[in-house]
Amino acid sequence: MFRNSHNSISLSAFTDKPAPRWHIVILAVLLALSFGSAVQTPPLAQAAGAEKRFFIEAKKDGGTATICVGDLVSIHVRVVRAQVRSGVPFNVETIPGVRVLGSADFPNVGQVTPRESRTMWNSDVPGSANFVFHAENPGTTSISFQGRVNPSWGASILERLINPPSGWTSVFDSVDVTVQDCSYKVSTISHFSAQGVPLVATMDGKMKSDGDGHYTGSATVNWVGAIAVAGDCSSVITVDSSKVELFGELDDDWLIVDVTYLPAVLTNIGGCPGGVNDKALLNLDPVTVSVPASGGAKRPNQEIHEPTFYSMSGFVVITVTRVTQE
Amino acid sequence: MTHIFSKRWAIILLILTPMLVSLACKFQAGAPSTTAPATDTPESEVLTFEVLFGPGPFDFPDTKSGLSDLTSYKATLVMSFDGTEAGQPQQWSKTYVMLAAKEPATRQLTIEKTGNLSDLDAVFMAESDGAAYEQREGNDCIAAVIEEGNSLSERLEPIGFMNGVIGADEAGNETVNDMAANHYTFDERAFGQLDIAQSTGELWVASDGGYVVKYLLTTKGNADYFGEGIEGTITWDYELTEINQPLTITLPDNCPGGMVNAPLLADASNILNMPGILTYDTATSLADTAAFYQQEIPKLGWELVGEPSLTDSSALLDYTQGDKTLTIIITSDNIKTTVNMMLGKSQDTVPLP
Repeated sequence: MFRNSHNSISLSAFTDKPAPRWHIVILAVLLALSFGSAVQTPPLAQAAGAEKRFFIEAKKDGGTATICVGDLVSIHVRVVRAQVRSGVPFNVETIPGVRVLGSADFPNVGQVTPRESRTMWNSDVPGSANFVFHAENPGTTSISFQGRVNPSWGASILERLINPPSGWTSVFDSVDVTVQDCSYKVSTISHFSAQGVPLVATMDGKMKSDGDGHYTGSATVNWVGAIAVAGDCSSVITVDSSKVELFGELDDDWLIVDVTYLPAVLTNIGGCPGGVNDKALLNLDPVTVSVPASGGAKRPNQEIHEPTFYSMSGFVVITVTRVTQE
Repeated sequence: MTHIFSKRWAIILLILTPMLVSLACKFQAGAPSTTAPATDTPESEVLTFEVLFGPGPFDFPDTKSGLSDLTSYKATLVMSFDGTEAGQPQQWSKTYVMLAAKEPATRQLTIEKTGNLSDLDAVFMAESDGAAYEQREGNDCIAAVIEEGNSLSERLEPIGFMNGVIGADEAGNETVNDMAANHYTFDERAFGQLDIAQSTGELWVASDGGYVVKYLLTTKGNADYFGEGIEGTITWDYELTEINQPLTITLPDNCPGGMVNAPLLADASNILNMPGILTYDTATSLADTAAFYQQEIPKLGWELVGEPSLTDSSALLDYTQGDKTLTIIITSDNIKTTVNMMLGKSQDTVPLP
């Protein structure tokens, strides 16, 4: 049996003779537990009848926007603890440091990277774990996420000592993703003017995927001619339909579009005394624009080059829209 | 005869034992109970446990409360971390600045970053005229239609990153950022994080309006709080200023125009409406279509630039309003008339000869 003189002295006020060691031990434990219970201030908002739950929430960027083959979709996953009253969560609290695993149920549709991430305050969305879904083939897949919450979030130190939790808590969520095969519709309206004479060229074309983020297509350019007025007489300018070649290349979140025009034949039917009918070959400047992979519009300058009379300055409105392939 | 327990010992045990039993019952009532997951189908585990909150009288669970009633504001949040990760020093800081106005609905968010972060590129995001803009440092500005569920206020409202408090203590009334506010103080118990991390915080809530004017928080923790291998201190400094004051957002020069705000003819079809461009087809003649827009567009504050270019088969109308340009090109192929409207900035405009 061991003796502790200090304890013997402290207990001497209560006993006529030194207390046995085991009495002291029992007393010490009882005192510790009892005082521990007594000093816990009753919480103001003790959730009597309410429960705390862990939730995991996965959100993909872009909302309901179409996802096409080749797209990279960011997904942010957050794990929260919330009180639940009558089935309604409130007092939601973000939990940092939670390990989250992510995977696609049908990996042939696309892959999720990284495999594992952690909810961090320094993430793009503070308190979230970041993932990227790489859309690879048309189809639908669920992307599943599993978070594992440290037991420290579910019980106090004392509670963990008296009644240890069974282990880490798992929470699950998923987002459904549909990947579509997409092509691009490219429309242009070119407007030129010289000496008050306008010329307009319109084109509606389509680019289809060749794979690996490359797109090609061709289209017809339709011209809107004009009447050139000179004093009391005028001449009619017409331009035959011409061709255009379209090329597109995906570069991360951007689509680079090249529009190359083949020469167009202009006919000027002279109506003025001494006027002659003539023909000319119009060469439009090619156009290269970068638009978001989801589509966009630009308005670069454009010129017509013609070696004799018909050089003109203008601009082209180019609109690129992504469409699902039929 | 020696008794195992003296009278005094018996009295002591008599007093302490009920307390101990009471304590055990409390913990048993709050003990985590888990539902066994199904064998193949994963499901969330529901834990039922009591949480110790703060002792004070003030609860503020929804930090976004009252914000939507303001006509405009500037919200600034600075987050800083100083600690270690896997034993290595780790320091970083992020500053979020959100400008918001209700009418017309406009938002701008900038994010500046310093320190040990994988991506230090500054971020610019904005919402204006129905379009969402984003530009990351060194890249072009991207514009897109605002997708449902993807607005800035839903995803990145700065005060939304901060937790609500339960049981904060009253600390008087003050004027903060020119607003009368009620001041509160709290510690980690306000988050139910006793034994998880150590926190000290202060909260100022507008006396009239009930929104957060200022929120300061310092949390010190280890792996239990930050996750495996990370320990240190994170500080949050949030302020709401320029409340209900006029504000202006400035888009980067290379951002495309917003959504085109112009009337369409009643029989419009094949409508394409995206940031900066609006196109559609109509059976209305080219001449009547051009006349329609010459009449309607000036009513929206646009001024015609030069003379309209009108022929039997095409029409070009150019307008300006401030630093914006609106170009309307109408073409006809005798089957249908196509209207193209493009919104741009003055530097995008090529003057017509």
